[in-house]
Amino acid sequence: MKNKDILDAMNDIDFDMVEDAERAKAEKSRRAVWRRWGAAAACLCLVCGMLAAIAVPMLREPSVGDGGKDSEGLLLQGELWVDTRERNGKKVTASNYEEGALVWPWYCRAVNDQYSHMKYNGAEYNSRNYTGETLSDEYVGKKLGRSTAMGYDMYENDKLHTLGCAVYEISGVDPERLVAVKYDGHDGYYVFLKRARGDYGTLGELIEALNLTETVALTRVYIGDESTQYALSTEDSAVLWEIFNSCSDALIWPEYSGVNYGTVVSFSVTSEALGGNGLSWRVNSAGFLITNIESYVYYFNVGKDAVSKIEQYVLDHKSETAQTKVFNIVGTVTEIGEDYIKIDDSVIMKDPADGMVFTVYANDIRVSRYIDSGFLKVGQTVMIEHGGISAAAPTEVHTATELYEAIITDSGQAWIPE
Amino acid sequence: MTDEQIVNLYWERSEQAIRETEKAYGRYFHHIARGILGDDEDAKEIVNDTYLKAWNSIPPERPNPLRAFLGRVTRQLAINRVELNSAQKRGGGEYVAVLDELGECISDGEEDMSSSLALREVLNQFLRSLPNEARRVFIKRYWYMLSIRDIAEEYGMSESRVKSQLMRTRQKLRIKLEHEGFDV
Repeated sequence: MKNKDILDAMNDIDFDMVEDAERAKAEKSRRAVWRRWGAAAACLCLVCGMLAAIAVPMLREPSVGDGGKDSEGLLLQGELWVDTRERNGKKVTASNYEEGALVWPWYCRAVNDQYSHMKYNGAEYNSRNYTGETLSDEYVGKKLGRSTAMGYDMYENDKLHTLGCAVYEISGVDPERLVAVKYDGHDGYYVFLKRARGDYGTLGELIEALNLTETVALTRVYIGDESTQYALSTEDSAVLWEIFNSCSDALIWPEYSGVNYGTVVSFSVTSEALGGNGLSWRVNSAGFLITNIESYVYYFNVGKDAVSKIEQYVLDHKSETAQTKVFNIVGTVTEIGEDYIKIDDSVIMKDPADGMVFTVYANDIRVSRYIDSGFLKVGQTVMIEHGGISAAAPTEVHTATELYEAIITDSGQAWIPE
Repeated sequence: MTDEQIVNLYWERSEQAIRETEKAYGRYFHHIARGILGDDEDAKEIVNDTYLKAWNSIPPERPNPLRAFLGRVTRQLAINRVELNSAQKRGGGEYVAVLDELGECISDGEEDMSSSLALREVLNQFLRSLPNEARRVFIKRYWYMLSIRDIAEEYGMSESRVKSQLMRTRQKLRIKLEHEGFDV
């Protein structure tokens, strides 16, 4: 035997141990690692245009009015707290590298992430999201049958777990494409998507199969490649669907090449019934509709006339106030409880004495798993995204939906990643 | 997007598959390749080669988890590259030192008939029997091929502690291999 044999055999050792060594780095010397990975993430973000790291300017628009949402999508009652404190202008780079390099332990995963796979009627289906987002009862139609959902625990040598489930129709949606799943012993319905492209010949078939005129509102739109999001009303959405329906004969385009022209209008689609967030429904200057509304990308040749009609309608009817309100808190973790985190934000205040200590409740798995897994440690710098804070209790945050690792630097330009 | 969804995209021959792979694991693969090669440019090439390998092997493969499958591919491609580089007397990161150290576990003898499958099983058993720290340090050195200094820094250990930890583990491995009937 040669030393090279051992090196080669190492390649095939169980991967959970390989990942564990990587994760342990994060646990043992978390602070240093955050900087390091943050640097790598920020660097790659610039180089590769990756989405995993986001740079957030410190000065946010003041949060005015109401309309905040809690983690269950319910409107907060009353006025939102308006933060008038002066910040120190430092730049925050936030990244969630765990999404790429690490896997959450089994017990930290939402049930539809744990049991993300099932077979129904001879076909395989996958969970549409992995963060425990459920489908309201109102969208659930008749029961279709039963199945067994499955998932693997990568921490336990890919151990297979199974859980019985009932399969339901999503009202008006073809169960050959999407179904709702209710796990035995769990509340709530989860959207599952078939693990194969739809056999669509025309746009009309896609619209009908997904009941798009009912399940999708085209109310958030971008013009060209601009980053400003505009709003449209539900009446506008109905008119736009009429235009798309008038193209129901538009043929599906099998090839990717030849349709890669500039975007004319791009709708951002979030549909509870379809279980999708931030999906794209866009038309381009070559007369194509391009969408990943089913996760698989489809191209339909709707024609340049239809694209012009859509563009003109959007330009005539858009209003300027559609940005989804997402607020953030950046600061140092000072205490970690069973279901909350305390964050002191004096590090980003012009006068550190203005700093406040926020109690962030871990109502969402995307926050709570940092506590449950032990990844989060006191002293770390984090950014929390939330849907608003009630003016009645400005230090209590009940709407947190994301937690990122944050790196605070004097300016965006001066700091060169290693 | 999950591994299964990404693998589906490969099966559908959608170029989106590569973009989604890059989005999900690009940084991790770069981290693996960079550690072995010690060079960013080489690492970028290896990561691109990994995507090509993925494109060419899925289908027929349906790897699950994808990260493990392609992580191993990245490591193997990086090792192949470092062997080529060292044949050409260029750079080479930690490869030569790592090979040298593993020589302590065996006498650099003849090719024998011991199957790589059996060796893998013994390594798995052996690594699982180790205390966490020893296992992690060993994997950092002989899977990720990081330098002693990098390992010390990442785990908050002194370099001498990493070295002595590795030495003890190699000695244990030698005994284990002998015990299992390997020609050491």
